[in-house]
Amino acid sequence: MPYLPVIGLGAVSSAGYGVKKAYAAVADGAGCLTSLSVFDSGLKQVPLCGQVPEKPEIRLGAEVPDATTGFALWAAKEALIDITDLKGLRLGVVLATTVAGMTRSELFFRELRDKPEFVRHAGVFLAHHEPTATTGVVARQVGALGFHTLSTACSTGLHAVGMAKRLIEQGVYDVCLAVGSDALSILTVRGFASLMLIDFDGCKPFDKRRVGISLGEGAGALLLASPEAAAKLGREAVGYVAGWGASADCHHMTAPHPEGRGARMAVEKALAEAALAPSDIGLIAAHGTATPDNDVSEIKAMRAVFEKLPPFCSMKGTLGHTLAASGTLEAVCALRALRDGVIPATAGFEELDEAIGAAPSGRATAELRFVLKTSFGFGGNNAAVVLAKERRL
Amino acid sequence: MKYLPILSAAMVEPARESAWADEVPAKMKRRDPRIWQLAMVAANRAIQAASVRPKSIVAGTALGALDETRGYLDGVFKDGFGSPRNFIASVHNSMAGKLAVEFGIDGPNLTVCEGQNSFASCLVAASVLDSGDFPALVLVVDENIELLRRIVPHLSNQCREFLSETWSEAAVAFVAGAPGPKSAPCLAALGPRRSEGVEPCALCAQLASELGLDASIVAPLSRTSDSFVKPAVCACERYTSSQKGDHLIGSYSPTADAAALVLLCV
Repeated sequence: MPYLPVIGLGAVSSAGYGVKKAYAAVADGAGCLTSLSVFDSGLKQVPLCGQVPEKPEIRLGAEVPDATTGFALWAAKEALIDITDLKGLRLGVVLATTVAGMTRSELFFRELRDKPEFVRHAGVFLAHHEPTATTGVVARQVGALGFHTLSTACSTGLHAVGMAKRLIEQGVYDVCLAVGSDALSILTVRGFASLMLIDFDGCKPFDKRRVGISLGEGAGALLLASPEAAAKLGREAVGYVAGWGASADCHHMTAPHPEGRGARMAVEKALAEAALAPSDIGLIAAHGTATPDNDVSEIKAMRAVFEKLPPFCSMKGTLGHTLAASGTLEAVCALRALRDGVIPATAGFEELDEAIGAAPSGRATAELRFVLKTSFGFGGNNAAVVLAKERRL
Repeated sequence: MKYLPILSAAMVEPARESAWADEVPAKMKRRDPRIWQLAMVAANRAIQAASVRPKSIVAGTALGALDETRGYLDGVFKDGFGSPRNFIASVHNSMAGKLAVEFGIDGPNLTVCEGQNSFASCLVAASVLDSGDFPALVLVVDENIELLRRIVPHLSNQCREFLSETWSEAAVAFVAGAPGPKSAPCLAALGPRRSEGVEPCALCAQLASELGLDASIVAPLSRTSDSFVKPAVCACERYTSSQKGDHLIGSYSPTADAAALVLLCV
């Protein structure tokens, strides 16, 4: 399979709007987690979260149905910036989301419980609860021909990248946006709290003291193109998508396989598609959620693939865990790191965990040619993508 | 266009089939959401009929386990605590994850949420898998729950046209082989495509012409899209009744304002 050019990037994150801000924060391991203020979660302790500092409608200058849609739209538009004419090329959108319009649904359910007459607002509720509604808005605003909506929890973003790659290779589209977007919501904050998977003081990926995640919100967008389409649009590649791998743990609905079996399979598939040996990988941009189970099983999986573990990092101490957005948002930052030869710092990490037996790198420079990005989700869902700096000869 | 050979198909329609619940494994009956149970029975029937274990799963659902979402939020808003079980089940892909665990399917596990276009979008998603990931279980499921029955009368006219009050629910499962040339029986899909103001039936006809097929054989949208699952139900019925020839099944999602087309060759 050829490496597919990425010709545009977009990001909305706890660092603000734009790829530049997200990447700078990630590279430095900056602390961008703040006390949850988007809504009152009702929890006794207010958790630190990766909140987007400004509402998307302010940045877009127009109303949006909900924050998930707004973030997705902003990131998509940044990825398409300066492309005023698609020159007859067929644009597709593959959008990843788990939350979609849930923030509206929460208002609906809250009101409906006390006021049965609130049912008259059902049309607005249903229209935005369906994840396809989010994709429909983005597709319409960017002038896409067609679109697809994926929802596989925290692994979704990388599946969107893989699907976009394949749809271009099959000739369905000439250019395709892979967008992941999720807003903070009561459902996810309370849900992860009920599973006792939140670190209220801020997550500590791969650290001995880690107790759970910090939720985040935002969006990441990668604009993929066939080489011919990239040339027609006059856009240079900012990097390449070399391979995608997907698998299922078949183990547990929420806990990862203890030996990282499924994660290993996904990584091996991505490497195989990229026609690379494990030793070619210069950096692993890990899922690194900071839950006690994830970080152990993820490193076990990597040890099973890599004879010598490459440098690795987690971006979640800076961005929070942005769920379906995490794959694309972190892939955007990984592509920038690849270009600059930077191994990002891992915010929150201080103390080595003997159970993991490896520490993420601090910020460093390195000659990078290939980066592995991983994402794992509920249902034992695994995804891996290999990003390349240069086109395969 | 990728053509997925059909190895088997099965369906559960609770409105027509009261005994389906007898096939739900006892441990699922006790604790798992009804929508998972519907999916489990349809998947099991299709897998048994195909006599092969799929290597991957592509599931489609418009609203997923909406009752679980509501149950969780009701718990939070009323009692200050939601059940973790409700939360886990509320995640759209939890159903496909459950099927992977139960059947030991360790390949790609995708969930598509495309409203009425979910079946078409599932087929497109399945077509991007590697040939080694086949056979694939392609499954579409949505429920008719009390909440939906309450809110349908309050939907906009456009939504009501495509979501009738006689809302149907079903789980439909196909086991599909690796994509190949068009050869009956097989499935393929085009879209979803933005309508851009084009009337849904006209858009489906346009998609049919892109396939070089006669638009007049598109099944009327008024019959096939009056619930999220109807396009898949329609395909399953035509396949199992061995209606020979090409069948085009249109779908339209008013929330996304997009249409899609499924081609079933029997």
